[in-house]
Amino acid sequence: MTTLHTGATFNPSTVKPGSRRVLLVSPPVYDAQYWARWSQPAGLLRIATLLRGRGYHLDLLDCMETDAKGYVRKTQRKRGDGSPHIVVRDDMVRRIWHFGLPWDEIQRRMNALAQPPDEVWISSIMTYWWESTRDMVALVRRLFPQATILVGGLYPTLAPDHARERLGADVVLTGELHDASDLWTDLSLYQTPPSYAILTTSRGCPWDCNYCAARALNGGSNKVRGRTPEDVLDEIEDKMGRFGIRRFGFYEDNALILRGHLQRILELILERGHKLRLYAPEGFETRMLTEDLLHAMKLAGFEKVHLPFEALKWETTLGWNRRHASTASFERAFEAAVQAGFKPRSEEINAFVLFGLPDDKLEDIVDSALYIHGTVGSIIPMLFTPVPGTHIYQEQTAYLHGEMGWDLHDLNGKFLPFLEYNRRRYPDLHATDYLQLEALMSILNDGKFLSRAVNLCDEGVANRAFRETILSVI
Amino acid sequence: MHEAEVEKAMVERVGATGSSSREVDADLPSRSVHSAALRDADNVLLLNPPVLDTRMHWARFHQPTLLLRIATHFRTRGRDVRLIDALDHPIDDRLKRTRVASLDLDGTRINKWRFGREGTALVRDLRGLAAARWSPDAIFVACEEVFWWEGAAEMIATARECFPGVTIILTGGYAERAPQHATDIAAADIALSDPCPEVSVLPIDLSLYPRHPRIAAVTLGAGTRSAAEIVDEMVAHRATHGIRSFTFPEYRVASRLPSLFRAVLERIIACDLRCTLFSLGSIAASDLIADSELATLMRRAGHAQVYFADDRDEPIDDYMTGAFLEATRLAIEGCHQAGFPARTDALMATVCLGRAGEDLAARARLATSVAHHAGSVVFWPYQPSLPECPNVPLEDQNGKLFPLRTRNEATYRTYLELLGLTTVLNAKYRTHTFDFMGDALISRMFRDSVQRRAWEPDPSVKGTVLLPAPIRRD
Repeated sequence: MTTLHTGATFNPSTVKPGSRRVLLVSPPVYDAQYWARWSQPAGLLRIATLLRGRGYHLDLLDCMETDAKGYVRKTQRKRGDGSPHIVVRDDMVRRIWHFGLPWDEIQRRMNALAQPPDEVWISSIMTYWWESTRDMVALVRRLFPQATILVGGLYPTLAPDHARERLGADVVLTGELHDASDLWTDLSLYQTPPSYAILTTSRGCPWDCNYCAARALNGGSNKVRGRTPEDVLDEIEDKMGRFGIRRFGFYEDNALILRGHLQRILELILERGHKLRLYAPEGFETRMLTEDLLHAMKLAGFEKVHLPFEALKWETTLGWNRRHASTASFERAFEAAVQAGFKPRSEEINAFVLFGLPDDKLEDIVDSALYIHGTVGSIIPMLFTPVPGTHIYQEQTAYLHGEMGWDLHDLNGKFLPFLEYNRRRYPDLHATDYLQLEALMSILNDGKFLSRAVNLCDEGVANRAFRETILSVI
Repeated sequence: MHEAEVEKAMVERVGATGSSSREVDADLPSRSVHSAALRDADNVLLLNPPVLDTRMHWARFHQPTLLLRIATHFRTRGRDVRLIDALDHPIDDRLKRTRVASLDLDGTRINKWRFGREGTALVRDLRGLAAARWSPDAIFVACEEVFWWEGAAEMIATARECFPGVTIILTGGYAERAPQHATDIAAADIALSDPCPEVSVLPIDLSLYPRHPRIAAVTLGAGTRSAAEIVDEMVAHRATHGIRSFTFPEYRVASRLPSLFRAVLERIIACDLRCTLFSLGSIAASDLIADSELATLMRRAGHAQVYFADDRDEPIDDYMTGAFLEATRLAIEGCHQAGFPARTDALMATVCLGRAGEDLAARARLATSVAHHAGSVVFWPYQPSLPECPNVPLEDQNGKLFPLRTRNEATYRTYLELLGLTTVLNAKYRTHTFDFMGDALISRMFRDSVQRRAWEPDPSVKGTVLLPAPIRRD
């Protein structure tokens, strides 16, 4: 019988030091592709800090730990009959891989624990990865039948009923474990210290974009709260001192809403003379990116900036309830980034372009890609995944689960869940057209010469001739 | 030819070419000294020098075939032959390079590199021979390109320092085309234009390398060897060194020796050699049209990658450009029918760039159209002959620097733009290039987007930097 708890009220008790053993697990991933960078299970590692402080003995099994080159293992996922697990969508076939430690290795490591755990805490991230969490629960149940199994993370928070019904865990935790929210990640559990650390210095976002789950993840609140910059610096220095880490990735909902928050963190880094490499792969709100802030980012060690451009047309962004984001504010942020010393056309400035949503206007997406190619140079294509807890998911539930009859693992953006939906606008649309769209963005991004992205939109002899030639077939 | 006759011919050639060398010109008796040195040389040292260039194409395919034939010549006579190849490197590693200069080409700065093992390592190798009480009686240095003379000069100086008094014979394209420079500036004792035609019929000796090469060059030379002899050499390389990859590096050899080339392919198929073949400019599109079965033979023989010969031999006019494009289209069509995959790197069309009198926009248009048919296209820099570049230092006559650019009233930057364009045309998404001129939905949308100049959107679609009023949700 699975019980549901909210992280706000769930409070692990303090125990006699070492009297209870907890195994923390980040499960493997079943997917067609996996991006191994910045994949540290930060939430689980903050819970580790909490539990350690309360006397628990901890072991960590991070199935997605990368090797020295930053890769995770992948093995072919097979069906019961031994055939390869593939997903066929229209004219597209995607092979499904098991990313991370294989099950026999996971079992071997669990069997090698000095003592069986009393509790097993499993973090589950993407809603469409829920199946590997289910399989992990089953394995743990078989190996450690006496252990209490708790599952938390984004998936149970966004789809608690699904998690309760489908995982077979003892406890499903929804939302943040509040007592752990502001704690530092515990990297001492890794035998080989990671080369980077994830920092979450704030939580919450005042906006409520149709496709984003931040509001749901923050318990329906639009309040933004932050840690003190001094505490963030203490964490950075602790990780520098203990693990030699110099690379830090900021994972925030919308840190810039807290005026001066990030700027102060950067100032402290500069004041203390730290030489760091900083990243914010999810980007910052363009409206709030001033030249002063970008200049501080550059000085403090940001090598790249990521700008959430998403779409060119204002009507599109307004349709997503993103009134705070516009191409006008994007252009201002881009110019500020250039002024601050980030080089365009060199992947120092990158912009996301979103596609794969219901009611996609493919012409607008191509326009967006070409606009970013012509200005910034570096496009990051973002295939949309409908996530429970978002407005789009709510609006499309009948289509996704009723009309199409899909489960959560089918809603992976890579499998184009809105392909059939978008045939209402484009009757001849095929899955490979979406692949071509992704290919176009990737190729526009990849064309480089002497480390600079080629600009097909410029007035140079070659690019003008290219445009004349391709237009000759219209 | 009998071995003794080969030797005699070689010695005679040394004398003949030696007449242009500084010593031999002035002192006839010394010619006989050189001849004797060759004839009586028991120990022969072969040196493949480093390369000074802005880029080093096809480094993994590079093999000093002339030196390796000379090796065969001497070893079959029982001589002790040693090889030091500055460009030898494991095929999976990048060739080492160090920056030696920053060139200013019409205001564009470009790095010039020294490719190959460090000078200290080469000195160590040479001194190692001396320390082992091994001393050469003659040293051969090969340099294929005139504009690579600096590497040859460095190698000669190093060899002379380690083995003073030993005759150093420079051979290859540099010695052939600039013998005076080779002796006066690079300080070779003898500039040997061509050891003798008979050497070109010998197989290459790969046993001198410290590890088995993974690839071997197959040359048809003047066509004096039979297909059986050529394929026997391949079979021997496979048996002795386990080599399964072979290159055809001779420019337009299939046009020059169509029957022999075809016979070689047929024999490879008949022998069931099961090898991977690479053609590096050895086949022209017109060869595939002239022989409609050639593409199938190439595929069956094991061709994995074909870089077609470019249009350097064609007049620069619209008619010939159109004919070249049509020939490419037909040839590629034939290759696809033969089983070569479309839009991958299996088929690479090439377009000549750098001739006097060319229109760069027309070249860019041709490359764009060629890429539409072939999937990939590279510009092959035109290498001018010495008389085409009077008063230009030899090292600057490098085709990659486009030494005839001023005659076209173009800057180096413009040529770079054309090279940049091909990086976009050749960029791949999951191994396939994008067809900007194709009929697929996204290709058409891209062209529409270009026609609308989507990179310059109307300000009305960009929205505002001011925060508009919230949107009411119903």
